[in-house]
Amino acid sequence: MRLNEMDSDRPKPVRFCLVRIDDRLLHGQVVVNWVRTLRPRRIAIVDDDLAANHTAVSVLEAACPAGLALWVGTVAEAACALAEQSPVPPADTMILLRSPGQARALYEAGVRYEALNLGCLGVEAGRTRVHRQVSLSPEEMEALQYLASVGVVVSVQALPSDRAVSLATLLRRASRSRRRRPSA
Amino acid sequence: MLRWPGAVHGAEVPLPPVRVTWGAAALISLCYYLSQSAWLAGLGFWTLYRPLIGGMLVGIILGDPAGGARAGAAINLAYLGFIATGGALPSDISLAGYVGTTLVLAGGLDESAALALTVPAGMLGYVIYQLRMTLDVAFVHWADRFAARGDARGVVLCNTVPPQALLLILSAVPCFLAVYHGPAWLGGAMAHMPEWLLPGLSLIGGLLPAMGIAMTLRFLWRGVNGAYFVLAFVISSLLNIPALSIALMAAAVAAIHVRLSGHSSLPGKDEVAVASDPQKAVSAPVGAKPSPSEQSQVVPSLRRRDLLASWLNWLFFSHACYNYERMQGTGFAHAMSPVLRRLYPQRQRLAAALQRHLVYYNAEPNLGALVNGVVVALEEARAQGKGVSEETIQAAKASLMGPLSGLGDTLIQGSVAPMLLSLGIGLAREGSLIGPWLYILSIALVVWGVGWWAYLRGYHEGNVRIAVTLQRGILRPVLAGVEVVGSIVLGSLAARLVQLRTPLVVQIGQMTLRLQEDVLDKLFPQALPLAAVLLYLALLRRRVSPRWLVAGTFVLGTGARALGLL
Repeated sequence: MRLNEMDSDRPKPVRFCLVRIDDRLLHGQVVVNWVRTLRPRRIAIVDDDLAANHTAVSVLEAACPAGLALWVGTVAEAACALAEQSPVPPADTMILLRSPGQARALYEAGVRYEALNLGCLGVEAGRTRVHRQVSLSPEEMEALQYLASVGVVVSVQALPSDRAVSLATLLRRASRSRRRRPSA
Repeated sequence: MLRWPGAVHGAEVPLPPVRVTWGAAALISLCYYLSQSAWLAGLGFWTLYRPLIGGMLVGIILGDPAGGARAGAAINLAYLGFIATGGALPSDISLAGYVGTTLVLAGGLDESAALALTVPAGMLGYVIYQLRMTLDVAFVHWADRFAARGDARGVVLCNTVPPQALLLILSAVPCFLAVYHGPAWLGGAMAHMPEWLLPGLSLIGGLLPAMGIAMTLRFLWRGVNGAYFVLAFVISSLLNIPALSIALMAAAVAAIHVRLSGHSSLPGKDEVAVASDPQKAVSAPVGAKPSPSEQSQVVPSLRRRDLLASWLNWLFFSHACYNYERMQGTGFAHAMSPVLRRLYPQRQRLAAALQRHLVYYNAEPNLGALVNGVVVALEEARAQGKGVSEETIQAAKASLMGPLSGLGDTLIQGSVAPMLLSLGIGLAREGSLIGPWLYILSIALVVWGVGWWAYLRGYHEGNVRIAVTLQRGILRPVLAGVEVVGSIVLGSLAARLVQLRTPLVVQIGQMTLRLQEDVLDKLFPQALPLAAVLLYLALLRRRVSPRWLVAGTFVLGTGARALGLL
């Protein structure tokens, strides 16, 4: 399901409580800082691999703060579960993703979020570090650039009290450091 | 409009009572280094990093332990909402504490005014932290090279010596300059300071504790915890109940709360349910302990000594080479080294094992020790040829580190530490050195106890699902209880330590009505402090950033004094 980028009757973007990419999902920054600052009613974790892993899902359920609903599902299921008519409105839903690829897939599946927050993305083979705790592969960079090109506000912000750094700033810094160290 | 008792006017600043000698400055800087170092059995961040303890140490060094603890407690109160999650800090409260206390004891500065000056110190500390997190990346790559050769000692070396030496230089030098030259420089600056500025600073310092309490309260404000806070506030403002008695009462109330709210299921009830879960039966064999019959003589198995060494390595050195690239990657490999050396005598397999544990890893270290235990059990099973793949091990780490950090940070940084600190601060403000020492003792028991317990549970279960079992059976009721105790202790602390009174006088015909003495004191004497705390809390809950609150407090505080309203 490929989105027509120039579509003039593109639906209005939806304002979710927070849409965050964080490969550690429900860790301290999320359950302590973000949840207690933004106070969502539901956390939705969208990830195709994770949704199939029952043990991992049960661990996430255990780690979900008391009083919060947790939904874990695939990108395909998310479009329906995160629709505006769902019991918990988008403004009270915090979406967590593990990778920029899933973020793009979610957007293309019809969940037109307005802004995307990059939290922690650890170093792995193929990824280069672009900000303190954010590493990206070229494909992931491209996915984020695509999201920015369709109007999603993409920025890095570890904690609610931090200043957000925009994707544009990030890319500018990354290209500068690449020029400085061509071998890296 | 409001008057803060204890505020000192610029002209009244006494002469510095003590001089910071070269040696004293060096000792204070050493304490600041140790607060972030890896040498204190996992306690540095929980003890020396806190202004309550740092203040007492500065006091001991400068010859006034109780005064240091008192000043440290005042500073710590403003930073009670401090919480560092996932390697991101809001500010460096350690440097704030060491510099702030020195300014009080040696600079002759009023506690409240010193508090305002801890803000730039905290920002300087944050810059030091970022520099360290960036530069430590180099040592990770050194460790990579040792790991590729199967040299476990080399990995351990890279995780400890160079990053700790770097940290010593990065932290001790700026701290030395600040505490050695700070008081004199401050004296010079105060001579040129506009008359109105210093009292303004004291005023801000008087309001910041209310903000610190509100920031902590935000983490506890759930269910009926707010009611417990108000109850404790009112009782403490009317009766003079010592801090320790309040804590005992709080524990009793928490026990009742947990029982009545149905959190308390008999421990083990859920464990039985999980144990009979078919899901577990499927995934259990990988970590199952070998029965004596299958334990062959040639296959290495772990001794208790290896387990203890591995856990101690984690306790001490998990953050020794903390860095932005792999966070605790080298710390994890270091912790695993005694286990891996026992399990893989062949150099090649040892190299592969070291390399797989040098990857990105970041977890709350105490409750997170459960992950270490699970991984040790999985590595043991793998070495014994039980068909545990490398992917299984990596998946266990990846799926547990996040959720366990969330649980650990909520429990320890979000509830237990603020609760124990509130108690310590309350006692220290009563002028007792029991406060800091009681805090050190109790937080040590928590850090060591939770760590070793979680590690053993993880090892004996050897399975990812242990996290679910523990959360349902133990962590949930414990957290609910700790939050109740925290709310009550905090309520009592707010009633005793936030001081706000108004000198406002209203003229009604012939009658002069003093708002504080004639009205508030008769209805509810501590109405203004409670209102201040709840106002800060309401603003925080409306997503006003703490940075704006501090800025607003600064503007209002200085403005009110400058306009002669006070």
